[in-house]
Amino acid sequence: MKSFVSGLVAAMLLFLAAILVMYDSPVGTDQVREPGGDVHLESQT
Amino acid sequence: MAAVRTGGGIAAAILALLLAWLAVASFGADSVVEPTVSFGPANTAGSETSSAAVRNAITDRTRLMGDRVQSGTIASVDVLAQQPGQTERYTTSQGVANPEALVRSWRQRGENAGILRDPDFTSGISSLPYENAALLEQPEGRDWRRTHNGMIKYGGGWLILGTAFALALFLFARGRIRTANGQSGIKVERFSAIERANHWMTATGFILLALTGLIITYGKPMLLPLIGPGAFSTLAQASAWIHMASAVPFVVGVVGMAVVWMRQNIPTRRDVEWLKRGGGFMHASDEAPPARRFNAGQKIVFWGVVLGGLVALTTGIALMYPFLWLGITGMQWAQTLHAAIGLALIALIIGHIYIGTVGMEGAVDAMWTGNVDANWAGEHHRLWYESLGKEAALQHQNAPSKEGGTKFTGSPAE
Repeated sequence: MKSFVSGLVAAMLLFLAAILVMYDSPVGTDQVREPGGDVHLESQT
Repeated sequence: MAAVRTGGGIAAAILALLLAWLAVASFGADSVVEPTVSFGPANTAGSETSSAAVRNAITDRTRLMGDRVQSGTIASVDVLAQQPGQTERYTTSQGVANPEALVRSWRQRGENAGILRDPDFTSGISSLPYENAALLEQPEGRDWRRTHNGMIKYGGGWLILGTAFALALFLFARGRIRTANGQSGIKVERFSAIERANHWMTATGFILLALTGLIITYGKPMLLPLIGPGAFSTLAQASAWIHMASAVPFVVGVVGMAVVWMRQNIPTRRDVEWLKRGGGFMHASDEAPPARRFNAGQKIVFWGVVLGGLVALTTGIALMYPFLWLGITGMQWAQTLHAAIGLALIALIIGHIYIGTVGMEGAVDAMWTGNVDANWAGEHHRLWYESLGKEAALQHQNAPSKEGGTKFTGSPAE
């Protein structure tokens, strides 16, 4: 039981950390290359 | 015992109904969304007259092709002549001047379908700073759509529901796999606290991945009609984010499992024997083949999760960063592989959960408390049990033994 709760809490902490890192990141956006080679982002939505 | 088997029978009956529904959906006329090819406005479908709208549409298309001729992408267009079986070659500027000939040609697309079925990409020119905008046609996309909407969606349904049905039927027919010699009252440690916490962390990540993955894959046809576009949009967006974020605990956990358990999961000849004898699961009188810490079934789950997880991770990252390093064909392959591996893993884990809980008496203790009964260990993992030191016996609980004795009491190696 203790290890189950520990695993659950660890998963949630990693999950929240991932959400924080991904928030406002390029995840889920098309990578648009300018002719000069620069990359900017275009939302899929 | 009878209640468990009855439950298996009820579950099998419900799953049989679901499979029957799936069969109707799979083989029904509208099972696969396959857009028809139309060269004119949709409301003229079936009309024999060449309306002004159709002519305008064809003229627009032809003008677009004229731009492509000017850019050097194509040189001319073959269209059918008035005489059956004859072909005339038009440059696209002539086509614009003679739209009726082109209308005639588009309509008889069976003969000159090659115009739109070039196996290669057909690219145009785009001033947008987005390379995919210049891609006008990608005939392979039809193959991808057919695979995605047919084989993957319905195949995944058959795999998951079929696995669940087979297990429910097995439970009904066989019942739980009992520990033949009952409880000895002696416990041995099967998994450490770290191993168990890591397992449950991975499991949490996987359950979230599976649920959100199923919503992403099946939500549109199955949930959208039930909950409406507003709620489904919120649910789908949340699912995409949860899916990406819950991959982190899953991947971290799988890496941990690979580090700790890989050596013990290397296949040996003994595993072939274990599989040949069905793990001793088929009949109550069967004795489990000897196994070390992990038997062949557990090794299949281990390698399925590790290797399948690796493919799912690689393709998943590609999907998280669309077109960063993959082109459109690569993205289609990544999506197809990701979906196929994900669905196969769900089916595999359904089997894992079954045998670890309701399917086998005493199995859940291994991952819940970390300790298993000595008789269970001796029956299902005899070689591992015998390799344990004498100090492995943790506690005596004086649990009643089914046969009035404890076959494996004190049997760990001296």
